[in-house]
Amino acid sequence: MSIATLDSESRSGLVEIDRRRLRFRVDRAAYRDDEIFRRERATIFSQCWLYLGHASEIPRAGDFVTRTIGGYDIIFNRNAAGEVRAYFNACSHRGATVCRERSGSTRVFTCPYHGWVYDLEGRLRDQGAKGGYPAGFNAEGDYNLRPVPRLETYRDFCFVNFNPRAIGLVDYLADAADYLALVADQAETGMEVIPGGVSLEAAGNWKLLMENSYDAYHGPSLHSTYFEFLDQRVGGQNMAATQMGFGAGLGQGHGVFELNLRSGRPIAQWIPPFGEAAKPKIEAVKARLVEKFGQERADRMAERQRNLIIFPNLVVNDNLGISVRTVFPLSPNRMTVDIWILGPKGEDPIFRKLRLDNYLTFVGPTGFATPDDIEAFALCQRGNVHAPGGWSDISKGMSADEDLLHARADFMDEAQMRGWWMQWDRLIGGAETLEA
Amino acid sequence: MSETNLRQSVEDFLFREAELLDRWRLPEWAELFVPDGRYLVAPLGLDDPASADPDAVLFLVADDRTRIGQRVTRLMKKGAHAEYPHSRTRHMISNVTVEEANGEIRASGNFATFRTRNREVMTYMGRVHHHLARTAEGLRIREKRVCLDIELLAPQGALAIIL
Repeated sequence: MSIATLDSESRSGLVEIDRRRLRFRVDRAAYRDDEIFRRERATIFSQCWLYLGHASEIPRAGDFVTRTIGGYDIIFNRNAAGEVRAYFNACSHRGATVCRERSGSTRVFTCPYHGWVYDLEGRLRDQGAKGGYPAGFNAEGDYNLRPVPRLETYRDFCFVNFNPRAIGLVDYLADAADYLALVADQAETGMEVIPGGVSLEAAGNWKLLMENSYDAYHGPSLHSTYFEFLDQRVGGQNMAATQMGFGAGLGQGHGVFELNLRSGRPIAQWIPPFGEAAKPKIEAVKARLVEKFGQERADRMAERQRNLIIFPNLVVNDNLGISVRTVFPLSPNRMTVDIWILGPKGEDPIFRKLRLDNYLTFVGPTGFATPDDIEAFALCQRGNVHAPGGWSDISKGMSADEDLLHARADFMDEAQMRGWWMQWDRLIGGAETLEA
Repeated sequence: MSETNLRQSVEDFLFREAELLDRWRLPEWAELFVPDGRYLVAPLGLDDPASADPDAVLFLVADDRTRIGQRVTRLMKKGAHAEYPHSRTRHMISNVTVEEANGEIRASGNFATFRTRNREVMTYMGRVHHHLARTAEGLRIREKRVCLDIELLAPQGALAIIL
């Protein structure tokens, strides 16, 4: 049966949306095909707002980090006036990588090849061998470092967009913006990236990690060893059985699941393994949140756990600690992942220790769960590539009249994932350009 | 004990530790730690990973003795999918230097751990520092700190084995 006879909702022709049979499936070509990989770069990674970094990573004028975003090498820096900037990390002379360090602080960026020198605003200050160029050589700024077309910041989360005509960041974030605020509001001092982030490359299509990041129901099967560990840690509760929550699309392909899971967090849910000394401190933090934000929002911040996805490739896990991940495709079969964790600036050392300890049990590539996710990506990709045809099923919890970009269902369902795939489908199919 | 004899006995201990890891005799490996022993893998890309504080910056691994036992318990289960079936590993250690002061032995060595599984071979390399205590049962580990040279976990993707 061809897709066209089932439903015309798919714009890419790669998503089967069958409202009669409550079936939502993705053609596995989407995970293995070279042409799809190129279309993703030309549409999704060239039209969406992409997370670049957190303002705390470059606190002072002159600070910089370099990273690769959507296939482009970027310098993310702070200028002399203290504002964040983003430039393509390629010399305007012959294209050589100008800045070869991963992070640091500087007054100028000097290309190693012919010694062209750029200031913190990307302006060409010196060409090394000046003879032979006409007067007014760079009068129009053609030889400055090229700025990334758009750079906007929401609550210290900095994003870039390679399309100059793109809608603004806040419009793009839609209902996901409030979830970022829930993170930013956890500290009156502001949040900061804690040293020790990690990057990795793994087998599998990048979209497998996105699906995995807010798929709650793989936990009890894939992560049985983690839940057995957690049950023991919190004193014999069956943690997998006590979760309650919802999953929802947040518009523009963003989505979240939110649940009760008593795994403890420094802001602000005490559990016995944290020790009696930490208890009054954590309770005081909670009381302050209630005072500032009201009982309901304070409960959401302190007592509930969230996995948030901002389309296309940003994951914010607001649970054991706060971790932020991006994933980019290197090829259809391989992804690169960057992971940072956030904590309040000037955090009490007791809390910082709890936060790091909590994080390390689960979320990292050396924890008790993530290595098994990475194994699952490799296994899925083998099936995508080494089994003929095939469809990935994302139907769980679907309803016939579902608004796919804003659907809401149980957190153990896949409403949030269908929202992501609908936005992917619209962008790949050319039905959405995200332009103003 | 002469310096050479001390180094030889420490190296013998490190080779025995490597053998337990390579043979997946992980519960016995965990017994090599004293009750307040720690197993640490420092963050990647630090200038001085040997002196970084696991309570202040995010380590790849920062296990106390309890967590070491939990890590071993997990890795021995079939549900630890990243290591089921188990990979084969070879833990190599060389260029070992040893000093003893205030009743504690500090040993440092270059290491390379080769891991193969699913037609892939990967290497974890760096320097490893052991703080060792003399006990009635022989040498025991107070702290094992692994400092990897790699900048990112590529091509490894994860670090599920014990280094």
